[in-house]
Amino acid sequence: MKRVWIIGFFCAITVSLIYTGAYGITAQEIMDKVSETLNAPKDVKYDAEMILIEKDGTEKVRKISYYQKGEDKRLMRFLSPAEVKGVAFLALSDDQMYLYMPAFKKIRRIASHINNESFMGTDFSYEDMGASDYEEKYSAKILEELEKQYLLEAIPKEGEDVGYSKIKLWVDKERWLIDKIEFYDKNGKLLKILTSSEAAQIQGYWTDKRMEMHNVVDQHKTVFKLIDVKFDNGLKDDFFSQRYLKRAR
Amino acid sequence: MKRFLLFTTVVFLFFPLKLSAGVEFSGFIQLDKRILSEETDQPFVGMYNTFRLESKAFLSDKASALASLDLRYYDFSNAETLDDLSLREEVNPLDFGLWEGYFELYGFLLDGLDLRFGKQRIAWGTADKLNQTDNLNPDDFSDLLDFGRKLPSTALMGTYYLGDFRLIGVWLPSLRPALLPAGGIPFDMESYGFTIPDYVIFDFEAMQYETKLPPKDLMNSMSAAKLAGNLFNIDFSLSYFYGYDDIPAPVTITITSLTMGIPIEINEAIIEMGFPKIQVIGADLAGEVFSIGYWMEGGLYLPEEVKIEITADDLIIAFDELGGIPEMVYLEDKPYFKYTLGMDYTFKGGIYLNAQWMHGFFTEVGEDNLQDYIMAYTEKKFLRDELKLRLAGGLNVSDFGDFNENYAYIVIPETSYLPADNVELTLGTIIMDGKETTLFGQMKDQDQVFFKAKVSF
Repeated sequence: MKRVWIIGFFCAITVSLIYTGAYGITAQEIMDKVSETLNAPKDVKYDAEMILIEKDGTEKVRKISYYQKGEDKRLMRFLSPAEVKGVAFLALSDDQMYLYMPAFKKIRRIASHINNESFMGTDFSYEDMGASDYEEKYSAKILEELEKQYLLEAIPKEGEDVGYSKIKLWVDKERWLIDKIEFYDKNGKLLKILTSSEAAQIQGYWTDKRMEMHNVVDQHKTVFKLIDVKFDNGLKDDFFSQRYLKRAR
Repeated sequence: MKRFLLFTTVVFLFFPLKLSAGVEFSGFIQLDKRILSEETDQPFVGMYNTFRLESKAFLSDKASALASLDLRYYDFSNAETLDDLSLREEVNPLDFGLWEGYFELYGFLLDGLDLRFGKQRIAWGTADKLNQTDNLNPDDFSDLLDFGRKLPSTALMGTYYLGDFRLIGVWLPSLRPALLPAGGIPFDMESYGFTIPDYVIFDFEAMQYETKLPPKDLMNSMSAAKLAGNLFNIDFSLSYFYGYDDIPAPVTITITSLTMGIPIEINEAIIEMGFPKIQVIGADLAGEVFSIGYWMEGGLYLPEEVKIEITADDLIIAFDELGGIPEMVYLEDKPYFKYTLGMDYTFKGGIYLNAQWMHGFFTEVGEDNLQDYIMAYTEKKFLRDELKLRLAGGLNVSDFGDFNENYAYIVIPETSYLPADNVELTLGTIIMDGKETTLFGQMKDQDQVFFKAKVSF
């Protein structure tokens, strides 16, 4: 009888290790915690400064105001430079997006083929700008447990149309924020590295106030700085609509 | 006096806004230079340059106002006489006016109701510039080679938002006619769809044209309504427009000189141009399939018959032997359908493609006069969007049954470069050729090289 218990115990340990790996937590649980952290606030709004840094160090600045509710609903207004001031972008889902062009007083439906395109000439793509739902689009596994982070590798789930063949994520063990992401192109070559920093707790929510996207292919960088971040603003669903898209404020 | 009034307008429009909080200014200057590539003694095209200044005032969460001024100024003097040299507007021709000027009320009486009063651009339709239901504002043909431009006009627009749906009502107090090119229309009047009896020859270029706008009263105002929304992830709208065509049509011809014979040659006449009443039932949709964007837009035009009244006074005897003055119908009261189908996609590597099929150009009326236009452009950006290469082209077919005699094409390669933020330089060329039975074919002597410089602020 004792032998049966010992065998049972080792079986249970083995199953547990297979399930959780050797880390005491599964990749899915890590992704869920990241998602919970990123999506904990009911909504968020902030202004952002995007600094485009050339290989030779010259800089250009773009400014936007950004609103998000849930994982999908996003509204962005371009504040500068003047040539794009007033242009606004609304995403209600991955395949329902609109662009407001004030010069033509027109709202235009945008198809999801733009998702992999550069956002305003930055190193971020439209897909990167909306990415807070990695657990939905990627299947992850733990590569390594570091002192303060988990290193995960994630590949797109079947049927998901994303711009990368895989991503590697460095997840902070305490705050469940993503410290770093490596993006690999369709050929498996490293394309971009996103590094997040200046983590701060605002209204009780952890958030990174600075992100730097480094395009390793053309050695170009974009620094994304969050300014005046406010959570739980009570944004209604109808704020994310064509009605508010064309309002300048 | 005129300039004083303009100055006063500027002050009234802009100065009070500047005093209030939350006012934003923006605008641009655009220089536009063109040279005809055909052999001609006047190769420079007198295209205008533009200065636009816009201010927007955020009065509260419930109201805002916008005013924009538009100055179009020309590189070449219009002076033709010695007296003209003492007239500033002839020496330095310019066109200065209010582009838009309106205020908006949000949540007026009802939470979901927004109102906008004043001179405004109301863009309808899902197509990319080649809209068949965008009839509320007049066409701006001042740059005929830039299809689909519109001018703002005075209107009252109410939009009621209910979930994913919008109900829009528009009232326009009067017709504002289309703005035609400064140098005249570079295609035949016959393209408008005249049905001319074969025993009469008109020399349209020798005629004297007059226009007659509709009376300024409630009965001759224009209105439109639209229901728009999203179902099954497809944006759609249904619309109705009752008003006037903004492009003039001949309504009376007073013949003052003719040459007898078979056929009769009409040498001189006064052609009065009116504006036909039309109704348009419109529908459009937009969505995506496999990441490819698509849109469809159509307008069923219900015109009133436009019969040209011909008078010849004492010359009427000339027609007696031929059974009287010929009856000329400009437009029959038969419905006709104009539509645009389009798609766009970005290929791997960032090459963008946009293609549209337009049945019926803005100037074309009547089922038998609608031509087909297959327009497309592809573009690719380089150097973080600083450099853009674009190749646009179009095929214009007036009769697919006899394609070889009824086609024309347009090709527009262009390069845009942004040497600094807010500065865009564009160099390109327009090449057109084909048969004169088509619209593009009639403009084939307009091949040109263009250079544009735009500074936004």
